[in-house]
Amino acid sequence: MVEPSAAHWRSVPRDVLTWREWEGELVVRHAGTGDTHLLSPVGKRILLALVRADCALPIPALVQELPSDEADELDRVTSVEAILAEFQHLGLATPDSA
Amino acid sequence: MKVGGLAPGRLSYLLRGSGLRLRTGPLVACIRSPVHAVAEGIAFHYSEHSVEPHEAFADFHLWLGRPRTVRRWLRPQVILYVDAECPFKPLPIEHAFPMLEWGLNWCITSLCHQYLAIHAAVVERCGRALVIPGPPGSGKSTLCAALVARGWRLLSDELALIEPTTGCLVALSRPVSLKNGAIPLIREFAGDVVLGPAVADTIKGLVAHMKPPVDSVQRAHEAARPRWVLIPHYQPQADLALARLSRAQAFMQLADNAFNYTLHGRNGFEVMGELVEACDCFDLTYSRLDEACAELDKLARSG
Repeated sequence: MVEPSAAHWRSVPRDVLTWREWEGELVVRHAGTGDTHLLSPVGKRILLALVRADCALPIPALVQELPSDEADELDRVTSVEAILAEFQHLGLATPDSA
Repeated sequence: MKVGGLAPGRLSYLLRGSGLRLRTGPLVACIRSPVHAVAEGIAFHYSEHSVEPHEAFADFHLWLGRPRTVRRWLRPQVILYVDAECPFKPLPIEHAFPMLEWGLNWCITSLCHQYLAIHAAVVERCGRALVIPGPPGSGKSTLCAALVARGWRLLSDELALIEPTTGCLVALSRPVSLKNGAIPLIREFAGDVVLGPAVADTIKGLVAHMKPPVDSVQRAHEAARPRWVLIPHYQPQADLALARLSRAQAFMQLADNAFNYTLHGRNGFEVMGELVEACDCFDLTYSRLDEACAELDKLARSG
């Protein structure tokens, strides 16, 4: 279920994911589902931020991954939440239950 | 020994008896069939292909014949068995040779998982391969036939087979399947291509096969390194446009058109990634085959 109000998010375990990056886009394979996904440059930055973090990340930290030309802070949070909801649907990230 | 070098009657004798062991690239199919159209089609299209000895290993065993029902005589049909399995419904007897071709494709995509198999045409020039992925009806076989008529080496019009440890594409050099409007189009484009008889009313419409050039068959043992990935878009009256495609998008196109990408697991991901890494990737929009071929010739010359 989508939980846009979750304060922190983490990626699935790193060893479950395999990825390659070209020209700012990311192709990522989930070993558990066998699915392969193409992420936009922004999606790539958010996923890699989650993967590289040692802990769950709060949404404000992920908002920093967006390009700085996003004008409205509320829009930026909404964008990140939408991406995270999609990641949850794809099995790439989960809200942190801690 | 080539098919064309068999003594008169020997081809039919083998097909009706112990089987014709026909080599296409790295694969050997043992084909048995009492159906005359199968023998005719093989004699015509595979005359330059090698026949392996009776004791040679065969990757698959096919039998095409009339069913043991009333349809053996009444509006006669042909049925295909691969080992004990019947992968297709019976078809009219006139469709026997296309059925053999579809059957060979089925065998490769269902059984040859030593390769990563993509639904794509592959042609080669100057040692570099052009991979043209696309679903049925996308025009890849038509473009493939045109390029072959212009001197590109044919590896396959349907199946890009990637050897996972080397990343190279293996050649099958089998007949190019043309459908419906592509048949007169290729006849007009290249008057010296050799086309077999057209078969009407198949599940794919009117179907004819272009005989692979002798050079392509003789070089079927040569693998090729991938250099370009091309997504073709035929649009009537459109201006020619060759546009860069991102490697990530090309990866997804290739994976979507792969038969056994999931089966190969993580290794499939890595092999596909290496292929894309090695290639420049493009979208090609075209309405005229001569323009498309000229553009791709220019691409090949540029390295």
